Amino acid sequence: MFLSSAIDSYLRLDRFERVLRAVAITFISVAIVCICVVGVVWLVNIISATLKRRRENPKEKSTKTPLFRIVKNKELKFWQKLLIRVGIFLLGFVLYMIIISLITGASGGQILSTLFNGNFGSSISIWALLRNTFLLFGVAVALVPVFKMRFWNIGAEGQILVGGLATFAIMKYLTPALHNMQFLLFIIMFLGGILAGMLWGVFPALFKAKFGTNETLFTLMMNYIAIQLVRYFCIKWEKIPGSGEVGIINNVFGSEYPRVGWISNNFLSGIFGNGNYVVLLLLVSIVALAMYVYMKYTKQGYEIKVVGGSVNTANYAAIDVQKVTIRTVLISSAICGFVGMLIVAGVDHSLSPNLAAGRGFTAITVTWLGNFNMGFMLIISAILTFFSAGAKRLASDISLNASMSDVLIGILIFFILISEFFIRYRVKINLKKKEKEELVNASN
Amino acid sequence: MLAIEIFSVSFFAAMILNGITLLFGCIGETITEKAGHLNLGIPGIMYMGGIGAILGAFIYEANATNFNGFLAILCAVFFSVLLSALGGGIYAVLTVSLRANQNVTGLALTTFGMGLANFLGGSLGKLAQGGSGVFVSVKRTSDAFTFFIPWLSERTGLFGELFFNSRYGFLTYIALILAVLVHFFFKKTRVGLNLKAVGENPQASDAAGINVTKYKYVAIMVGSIIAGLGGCYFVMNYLKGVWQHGALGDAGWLAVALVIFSLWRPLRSIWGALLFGALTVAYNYLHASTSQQEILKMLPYLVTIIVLIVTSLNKRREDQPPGSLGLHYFREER
Amino acid sequence: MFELKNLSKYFGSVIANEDISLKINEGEILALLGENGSGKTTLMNMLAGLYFPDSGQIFHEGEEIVIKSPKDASDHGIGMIHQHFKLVDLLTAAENVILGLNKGFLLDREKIEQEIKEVADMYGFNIDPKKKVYNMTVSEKQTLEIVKVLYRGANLLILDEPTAVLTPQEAKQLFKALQRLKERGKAIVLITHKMNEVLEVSDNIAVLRKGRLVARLDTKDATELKLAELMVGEKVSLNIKRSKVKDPVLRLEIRNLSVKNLYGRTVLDDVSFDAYGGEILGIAGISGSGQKELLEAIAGLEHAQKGSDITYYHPKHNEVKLIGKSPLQIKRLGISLSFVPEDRLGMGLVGSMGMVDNVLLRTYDETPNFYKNRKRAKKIAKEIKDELAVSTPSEDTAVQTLSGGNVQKVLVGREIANNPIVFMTAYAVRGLDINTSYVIYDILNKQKEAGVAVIYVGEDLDVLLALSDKILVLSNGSISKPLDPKKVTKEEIGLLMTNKMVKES
Repeated sequence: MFLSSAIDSYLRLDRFERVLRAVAITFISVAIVCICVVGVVWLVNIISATLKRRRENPKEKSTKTPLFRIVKNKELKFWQKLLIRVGIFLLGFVLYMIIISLITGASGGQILSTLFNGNFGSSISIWALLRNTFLLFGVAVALVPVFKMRFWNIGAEGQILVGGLATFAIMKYLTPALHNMQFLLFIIMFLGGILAGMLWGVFPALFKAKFGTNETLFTLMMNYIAIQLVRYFCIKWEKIPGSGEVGIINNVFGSEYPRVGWISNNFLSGIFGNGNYVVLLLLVSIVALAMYVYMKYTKQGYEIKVVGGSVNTANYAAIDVQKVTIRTVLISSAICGFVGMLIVAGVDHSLSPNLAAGRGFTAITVTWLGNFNMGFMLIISAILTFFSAGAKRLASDISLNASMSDVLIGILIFFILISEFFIRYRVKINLKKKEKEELVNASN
Repeated sequence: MLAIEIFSVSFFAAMILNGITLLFGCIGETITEKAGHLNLGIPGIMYMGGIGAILGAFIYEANATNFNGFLAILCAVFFSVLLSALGGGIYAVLTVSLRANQNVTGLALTTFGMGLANFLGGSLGKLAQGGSGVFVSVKRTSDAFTFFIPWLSERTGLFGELFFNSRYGFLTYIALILAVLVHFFFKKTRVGLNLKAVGENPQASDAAGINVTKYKYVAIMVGSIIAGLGGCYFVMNYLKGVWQHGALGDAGWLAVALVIFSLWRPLRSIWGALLFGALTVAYNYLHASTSQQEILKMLPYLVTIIVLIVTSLNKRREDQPPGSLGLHYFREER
Repeated sequence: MFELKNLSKYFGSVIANEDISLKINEGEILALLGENGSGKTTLMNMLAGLYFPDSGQIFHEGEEIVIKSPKDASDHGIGMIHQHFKLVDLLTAAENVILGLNKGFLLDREKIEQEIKEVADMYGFNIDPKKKVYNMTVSEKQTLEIVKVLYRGANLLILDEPTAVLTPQEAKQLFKALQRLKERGKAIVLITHKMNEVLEVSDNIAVLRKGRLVARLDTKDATELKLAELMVGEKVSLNIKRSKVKDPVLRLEIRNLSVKNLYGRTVLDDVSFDAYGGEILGIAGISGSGQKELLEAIAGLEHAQKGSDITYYHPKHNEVKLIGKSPLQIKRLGISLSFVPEDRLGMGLVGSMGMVDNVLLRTYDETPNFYKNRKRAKKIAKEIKDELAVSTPSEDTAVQTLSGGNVQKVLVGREIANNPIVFMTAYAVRGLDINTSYVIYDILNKQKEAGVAVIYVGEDLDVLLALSDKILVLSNGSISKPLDPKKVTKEEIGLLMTNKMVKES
């Protein structure tokens, strides 16, 4: 039943979306097959290792020997690491399905199809998946240089917000003057977003560089100041008194300058139609590529690595640690501000305290778990976005409370953290040998 | 334009109610940080503690034939402790045994905890109000929490109103006593000294024969439970047992900030908590317009940043954060 | 009293200890002799409960015991004094002593301080129980560690390279204390790589090489040469070449250099000396007398007080005042100053990066444009690997996985590749095996022959006397007049190392 309805809806899509779907389905099937293989192999590994230990150490002590010992693992090959990560993620996913099943009574198939429909059910949802993945990915890219330098920028959320705020303000106040020179308007919006983000990042950076102030908390607090600032302006600029909502700016209907400053309608709309997100995807991809080149091939990227490795060594090597710190944080917060601009001018076309939607925090997990690798970060962004969007569908289709998705995403992250452990360490289990005679024989 | 009503009793009460919530969270996190772990999951844990209390109260009220205030409180606190322990347990296993990154784990836990609390709150609401309710209310239990020496506040006029306000409930005094106890714990007991050492230098503590893992686990669990009580307190005493989506607001983050503000000293946390509590509710009593309110709500965060800066300029050895805060300890590392 | 049987320990694929069997008796001092990396510390760490044996058994008074943690070790009367002290610096001496002992719930500071003083006096040690560890000297900390294990009822004391941080006089005091302990029936294991100590103070010797026990003998049957052979496995001459000095040129002039540390304490007091190209200038002194600050001040990493002056004489240009300049400024002026610091992985290298990336530390800024040029660094890395025989899977393997000797080779190799005019090293051969040490001495001599001003800060007086052309002694921040190593004796240097008033008129 699932298959036939899926095929039906598939045939109703146009060519472009069919391609997307086909790719998605292939990817998922391959992933599922891998996952099953992984699970089996991993189990076999554990069992054979245990058996091997039994064979090699028949004279193990029995008195008070520690049961579990944690020992650093030898460097694993790439495929082994991948196997472990995917395998444990699958376990987490199975747990996810079980929990939902217990709560709502839905079957596994229903859950899967709802998740699928939530993300691939229509062209709108597919574009939403792509766009949200790339926005999250963009923030994750912003965090790469600072995390590599071991500067914990938890303030991405606030930096996105102020970037969006600046963009909105520019759209609001400069549209009448520049509606005929949109190119200029876009440039100013771009600069505004970046500068606002940098403003939010410069203070924690300065104080960390000069006085060693704890950046985790400083940037964290800046988030809430940003939220309050945005709330303030939302009230100040509200369309209907008392609502706190500013409405859509430069709307299609009812506004003097329809679609001015809207990214989605002013770039490539000839090819992809109005309201497309291709520009967004392109821009984020360009930023990601630039960051990759920056970190890998430039002197500044190298300096970041050294500072992150050991500050003492950086000083010794005549690297100006303060300058590198401030510069890197400025870059990071600028990109966050840029994402804020993309959200306001490219997606929401409005202002609300929720415009960042927690991306600033989620991206931290993405960057960390993706280990600063662009490919992995993109995949993890996709996975998290997938589940997030799927959760909304689960809420409406099988009445699963939307907050549950947060719980389950939390659980998935826990599982990924667990898999990291198994990659780095190996647990040695000492099995008991009971007979005292064996011991006596051994020591003779 | 801004009339000042700071000295009205209701402001004082609101300050205490908000402040004590933060105090619970702060004491809990202080213990955890003294052991070397930065738990950014405290906001999530406070939410879990809060919803745990509601859950317990709800279960009791739904099943009790004769309402006994004492048992109601017991039930609520029990579930609150249960859920905060769950949260703390997750954080402990991940960061102590599985050596996961503390920041990432904490943030994931906050997402998880807030989600869980909102989910349970919403579901309970549906249960309570026959499928259409948005919130759940356990007023009777809440009243039980706040029932405390009523005759004292009635008889002693303003003084009684200020210090024995019926809204405070017994937990207020427990928080204050707890803060003092924790202070003495670190200064005057062997176990406290051991814990302080674990947070400063786990290698040395291990060599001295302290079971570092055990101490960390216990510190995290106890810290989480105390912080969770903050959630319970807020929900029962301030919100009068009514749960709404996102009920606790940003209390958890302010509690984390408060730990730094008090330089990991429980006694300083007491007046720091009251200060923060005052700043959090100031906007309500200054007759500001709705938009100006938002600016006022910024104050606690601004103050925290100022403290952060001042603390980092001050380089005294005795004021520095615990030496191993945020770092892992692995004995067989070569 | 204690017996080890077939003890083995592996770290991944590295053999730290293999099949070691040993008896330790009370009332005796056993010296555990071996090169760095021979497994001495690992073996004792298993007794101390810090590592768990992969196989083998431990017996105490004939009964098998299992030591899973330092607490277990302590319960069996084993106390270890480590090379790197395991003290919590925020606590007082008394608090450190009773840390982890849970005799009672409350902390009665007065009573504890009294008890500790009694124990200390009983064995002839002098400590102030109320003093905070972050205020203590190195020698005070070591005494504290000893009193700590005695207070906890240790019958077997293990000391890991205890004299590394002491003056010859303090070392003598320590040995006297060990004798006192021995007379009271304690068993003592002394981990060391210094043969003279072994011969002077021990009753028995156990020699380890590459993780295995190669010999067990009474001290009265041992000679230095025999022990050296056992340690390295082949006949080794103790001769270090000292080439003749030709045309020394003044390169560095230090005048009235003073440095204060974070807490305001003066760590370098009015230091003045000259360094000449074509000479090796040796600097002797107990660890912590200001050597680190001295070299770092010259390199621009440490801030000097007013009135200090460092002048650098460039071969082609005019003289330059180095004082007050940061490493970046020094680099920009084209001044070739190489520095091999004491803290190799913490300062000289980035452990998580490979050889090439570490070489890049010195060369990455050579090209004027935005992109880094790895080619030259790669070439240099390969040269270092070949010429110094660095054992590493590849030039991009993280250097923190390499053994101590190889790490040092990478560091020294990189610094020479810089073509320095002044070459400074701190404890260049600490922790290295004999062969690698000789490679380093050879490098230093070659640099000297090429006209480089070599400054060698070392702890082994024999090496200093053999290698240097001039010797300075640093003690408590003050420096002595230059001494002639051909004429001065070790004892004279030892005295200078402890004297406070070292500046002679």
